[in-house]
Amino acid sequence: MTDNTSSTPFVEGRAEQRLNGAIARFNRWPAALRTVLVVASCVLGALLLLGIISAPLDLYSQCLFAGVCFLAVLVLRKIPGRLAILALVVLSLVASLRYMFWRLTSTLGFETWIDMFFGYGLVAAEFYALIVLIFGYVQTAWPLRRTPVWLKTEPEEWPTVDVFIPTYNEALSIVKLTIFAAQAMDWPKDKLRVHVLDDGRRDDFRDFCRKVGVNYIRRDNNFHAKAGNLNEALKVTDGEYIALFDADHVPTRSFLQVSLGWFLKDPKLAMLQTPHFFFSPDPFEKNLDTFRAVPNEGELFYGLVQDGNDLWNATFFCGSCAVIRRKPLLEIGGVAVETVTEDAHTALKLNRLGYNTAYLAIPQAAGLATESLSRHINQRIRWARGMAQIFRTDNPLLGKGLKWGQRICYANAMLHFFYGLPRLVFLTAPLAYLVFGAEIFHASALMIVAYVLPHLVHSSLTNSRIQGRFRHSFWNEVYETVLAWYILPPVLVALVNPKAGGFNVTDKGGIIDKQFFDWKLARPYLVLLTVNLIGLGFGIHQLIWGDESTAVTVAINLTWTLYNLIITSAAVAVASEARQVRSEPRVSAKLPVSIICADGRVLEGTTQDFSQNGFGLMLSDGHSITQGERVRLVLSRNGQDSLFDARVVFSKGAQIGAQFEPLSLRQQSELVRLTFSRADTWAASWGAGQPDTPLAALREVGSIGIGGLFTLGRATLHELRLALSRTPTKPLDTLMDKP
Amino acid sequence: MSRADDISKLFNKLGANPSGYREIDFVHEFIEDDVEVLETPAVTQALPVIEAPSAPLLRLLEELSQGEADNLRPPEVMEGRDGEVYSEQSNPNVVVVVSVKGGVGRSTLTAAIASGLQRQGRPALALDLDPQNALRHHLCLGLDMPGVGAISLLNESWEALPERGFAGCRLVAFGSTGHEQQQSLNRWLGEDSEWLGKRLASLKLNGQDTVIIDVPAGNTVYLGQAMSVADAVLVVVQPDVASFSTLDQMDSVLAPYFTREKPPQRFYVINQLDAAHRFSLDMAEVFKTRLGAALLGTVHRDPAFSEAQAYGRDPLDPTVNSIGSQDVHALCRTLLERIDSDLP
Repeated sequence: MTDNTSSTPFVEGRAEQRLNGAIARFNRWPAALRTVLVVASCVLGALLLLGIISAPLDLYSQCLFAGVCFLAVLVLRKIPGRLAILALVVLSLVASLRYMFWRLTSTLGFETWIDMFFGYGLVAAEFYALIVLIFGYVQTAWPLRRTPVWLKTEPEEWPTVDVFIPTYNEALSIVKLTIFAAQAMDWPKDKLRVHVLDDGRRDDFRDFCRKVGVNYIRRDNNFHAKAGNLNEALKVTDGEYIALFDADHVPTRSFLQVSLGWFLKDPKLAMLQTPHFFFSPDPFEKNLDTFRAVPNEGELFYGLVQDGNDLWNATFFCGSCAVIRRKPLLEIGGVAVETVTEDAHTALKLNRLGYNTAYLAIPQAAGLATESLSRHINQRIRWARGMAQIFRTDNPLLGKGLKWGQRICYANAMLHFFYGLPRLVFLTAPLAYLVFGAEIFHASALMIVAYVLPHLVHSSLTNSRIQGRFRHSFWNEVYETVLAWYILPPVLVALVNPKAGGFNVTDKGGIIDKQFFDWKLARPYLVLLTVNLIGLGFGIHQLIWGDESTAVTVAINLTWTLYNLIITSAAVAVASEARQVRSEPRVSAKLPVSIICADGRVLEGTTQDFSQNGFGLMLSDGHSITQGERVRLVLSRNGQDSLFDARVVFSKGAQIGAQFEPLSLRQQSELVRLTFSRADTWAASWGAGQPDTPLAALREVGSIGIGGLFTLGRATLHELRLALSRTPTKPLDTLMDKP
Repeated sequence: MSRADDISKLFNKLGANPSGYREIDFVHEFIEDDVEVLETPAVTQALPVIEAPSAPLLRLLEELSQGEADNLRPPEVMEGRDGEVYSEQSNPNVVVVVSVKGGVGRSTLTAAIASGLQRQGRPALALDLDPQNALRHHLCLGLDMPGVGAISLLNESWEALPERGFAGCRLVAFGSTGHEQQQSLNRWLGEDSEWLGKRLASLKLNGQDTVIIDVPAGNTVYLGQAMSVADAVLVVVQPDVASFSTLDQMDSVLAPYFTREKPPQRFYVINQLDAAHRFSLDMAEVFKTRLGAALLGTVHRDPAFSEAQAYGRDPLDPTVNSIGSQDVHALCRTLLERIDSDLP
């Protein structure tokens, strides 16, 4: 990880520089003239767009128009730079708006009630998707790409920082890392105060904090959960800035120096967020085996969306890995407690008061991803519910204090979580025709293709170009399909009654010692899979024995059903929980280390991975150490060596695993400073992923779907055998090994 | 790892200049659990396991007792570069390796530097000016070879003396001498201050060559002779208090030789640093502070060296690549940089 030097800082191309130059020159013109020009060009553009999207064309001309646009896209997507992206967005908007205009004006002549029900349902879902698409373009077309500002003054003049580490039920062994790392941040010691906010009221935490010399804060209630916990701590501290880390987010030593500069430069800046980076795979990555190969669910948000938000001064606070200025936070009454997503709501309140928020896309902290699918789903349910609550109680489109760009960014972040129902509609819509014979499109099949295909192709190619490094094509559908069923009820309930209670799926918890298929969680996907299979059967039947005049319509619906089947079976694959053996955070990173053997040999090696309990090492050529031998590991920084006693617990050729003997607190702290809190480890693998190619992504999702079907088959066989014999035969994990 | 390499990597990635970063010293008190500290086992306790000598060691001991060990010959003697011949004869660089007290690994280091320089493409000649005549063991040549002691007493030229050693570097041994021979050498060398200069000239070396001279510990006539031709003097110290307290003594011994018109450069090297001991590391820090840029490098204690000597192997053999050999290579590189930068 750390020796990855291939990724270079973002460099602007020549076209980009010319564009920036032109914008800078434009900004020097008189304000009045600029306003007139902007308004005039907006009106002109809107009229043009209106003309283009409403122009009626017959089948042949529409095909020709679509073909020309498509050719333009094929050329444009090869051109680097932001201008090409803007051009792609315009083409995509033309295709999609033309489609929607045509859809609303020419396809809604429904005849029966059943047609109307399915037809209007689908139109509503499509309308939602279009709004999110347009807002998404606004949000992401021009990421700000903020760079850090360095502190110019002497350390004696730097401001005081309170570090809050709220914890509730996380194990001390995990929180320890965060505490040591927070302590070790490069900041003057008299200006850095670390506070552990323990809502779990645990005595071992208190003792530990006393021994390592950090402040321990405990309150006598748990009102408002994390938000309340933070607000309590605000009352008993007085630093000028507050840095927040969740109990399992380990900051690097450079965190404060990288993130605080902007506050000194911009006095109106109230909050600066950095990415949440995870050194362990999330359930998707773990169960599908795509860790670091396919961008994960969070990467789109932290890689692109937040950077795009930043352009509009609408960066959200994400609860951790962020710095907040105390004064504005107190002005809005502390961290928001009205909703369950206190973080985003806090940022919204700050923005409403006219304060700025900023995003710095440099991972300067890393944490553990959720361990199991059920926990992951629970977390997303909370987000969805909280966002719906904000949308209902403090709607960003209404109210004072926001610019329209901020309104769109916030609204889109909330609307995004309403995808539950539309996604389920898209996953079942073709069945309306195939099974119930409902005419949900009142138009000829070829016309539909001529309009809908450009809409789909343009939007997915444009998004692939914008999001390429952070989200691969078709993965959005997979992520949404997995969560759709679960976030639908909380969102609907929160919209009706924002105060209504919690929704949690059962938690399998902790370490997954065996691979297993989560039948309970997979139920919605199995239902979707079954109904789509039934639809497929109906469709094939109609294709062979049905009326020839409807063959094209059937074929279109069949293709759609097939696509839905691929996405649904990929969702099924996610429900097959892979075994997770290690319970401690383990990070793969290559650091040089010397090994002093018991016989006095001194060997050179490189770490393969590290945790707080041991190292996986690769010795330099031709050396080996026998298992059980005691060694000392030497890590050095700035020419100073640190020693750690360890025992070799695994040895195979040049590969060894060394486990530390019990370390003193000083040694543990030293170890964290030399490993987890290194400044570059997380940044090195940031945005270094494979760019998207839509066809490869489809192949990938397809093969994962097939794998999911195989796993489902085996799990079913296994259940059947169990049910028949009623005697346990083989352990599940050997049966369930993935093909 | 160089200074704060994680910071510079991060800044490189951001396209910024790492000098904007402030390193803050970490000073912190921890209240340690007594139990926890006691549990930390000392590595040395696990050590004393007396094993029967291994098979190759037995064979070696047997051969040694019979007098002649075939494998004490250099296993492979590569022909190194002789050095390009310049139309104008220029003088070789002369580096004298000295120490106040014995047993600091001076001869081992002299041999390693000669072999190391040769491996870096710089023809090297190791000259043993120590009557103990031990350097030959380190460069692994025949047990008895004629040397400068006896030959000089016969007033013969040194021209035929150099023999090829590891990596193709050349060795001029002291040769075995009796007590009386040594006394007459002492007298002679005390009187003729240009003895070594004339003898070296007879070796017909040129500016590409580097001569590494091993002299006995302390102030001897051999040190005087070597210093009279030296371009650089390399003081070997160990990271302990005894070595540190000899620094002043060394200064006064060397002082007379720094009065000449173009005085030699003075360098230091810490030998046998034991990374397993806090004290050893701390002492190294003390030396670094005291010596500053004059400290050329540090060589870790490395059992691979004594092992290599026992089995007649070159400790710098790239297939072994022990930590000590890496240190020596680094030392040679720095040495060359310093010497070359001093050339007119």
